Amino acid sequence: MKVILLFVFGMGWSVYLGGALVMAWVWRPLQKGLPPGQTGILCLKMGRIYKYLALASLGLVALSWAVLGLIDHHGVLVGTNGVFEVGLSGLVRGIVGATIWLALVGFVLVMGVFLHPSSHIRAETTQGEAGREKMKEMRLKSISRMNRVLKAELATALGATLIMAMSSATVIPGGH
Amino acid sequence: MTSTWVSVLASYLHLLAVAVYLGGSVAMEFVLGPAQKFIPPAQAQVMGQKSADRFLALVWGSLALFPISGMLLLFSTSNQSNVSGDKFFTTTYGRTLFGMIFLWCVLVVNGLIITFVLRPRLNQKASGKGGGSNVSANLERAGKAARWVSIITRIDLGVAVFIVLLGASMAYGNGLI
Repeated sequence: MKVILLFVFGMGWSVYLGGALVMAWVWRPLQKGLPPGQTGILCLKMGRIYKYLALASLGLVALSWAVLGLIDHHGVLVGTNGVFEVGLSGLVRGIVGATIWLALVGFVLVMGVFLHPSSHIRAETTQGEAGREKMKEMRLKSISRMNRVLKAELATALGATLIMAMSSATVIPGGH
Repeated sequence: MTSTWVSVLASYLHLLAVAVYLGGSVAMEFVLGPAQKFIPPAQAQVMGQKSADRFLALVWGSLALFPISGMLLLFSTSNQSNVSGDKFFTTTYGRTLFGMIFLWCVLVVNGLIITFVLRPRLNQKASGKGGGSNVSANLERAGKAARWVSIITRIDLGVAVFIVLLGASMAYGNGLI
């Protein structure tokens, strides 16, 4: 049971982090070489799939982490033998973990629900030149905000991975 | 204390490598791949080529990191005695590690096939090299190559998922095999 939960945790985290890294390392630079119209279509389609994929994998991470914490107080994810555990109570570790998880979910939601849709808004034909300019300005602002949020998300996720490593979180051989 | 921090570093790199390989493959296959259908084929091909080039750099980086960080983990946690001598084949822990190494070799071989056999065939389609009557033959070869890339990528995904399961079994117990 614990092996399966750790497996689910590992899978969820890998899919989430790997997806975020591919978006930053593969997709972002690729956008510069594509015509703007096609970038818009791709961005819209991928953004939608990625949002659900990221939220589903973060959901799996939370579920497996919570169940592991409940059934095993001395397991690798909430263990007492890692660097991170030294001097920290279970409650503090839980709060740190939950805060990071909430921040990551927040980043995904901010990008998926607010910034991503507003980076695709188009002016109505009746809005005139001033309206179009305003929409364009809003789009550019959203894109620049999204880039900043993506960087913050990646930094948080990489920091969380470091904490997992410090907690001897997953694959330290025999690290139980 | 030094070995503790070496194990933290090794664990960090191992986790990153798994995430990049597995999560990256999932994103490429299920996010970038399906989205390409919504743009013109020629543009989709250029995009596919460029994204695959960048992703292959990540794939090879993580494949190189697996054995390095894995060895560091094994030695920094003083677990090498668990796999020394015939224990590598006679204990569950040793056999599980052997299984992971074997599956890593499968991923490397598949990576080599994609990088050096199938990708050049796909690139040939993009350049239209040969011209005239060769174009249709090239297109057919490239179509076949694309299908094989897709099949091998899915096999790699399955293998990577199983490696994660083996890793979890080693972290939380004595292995699986």
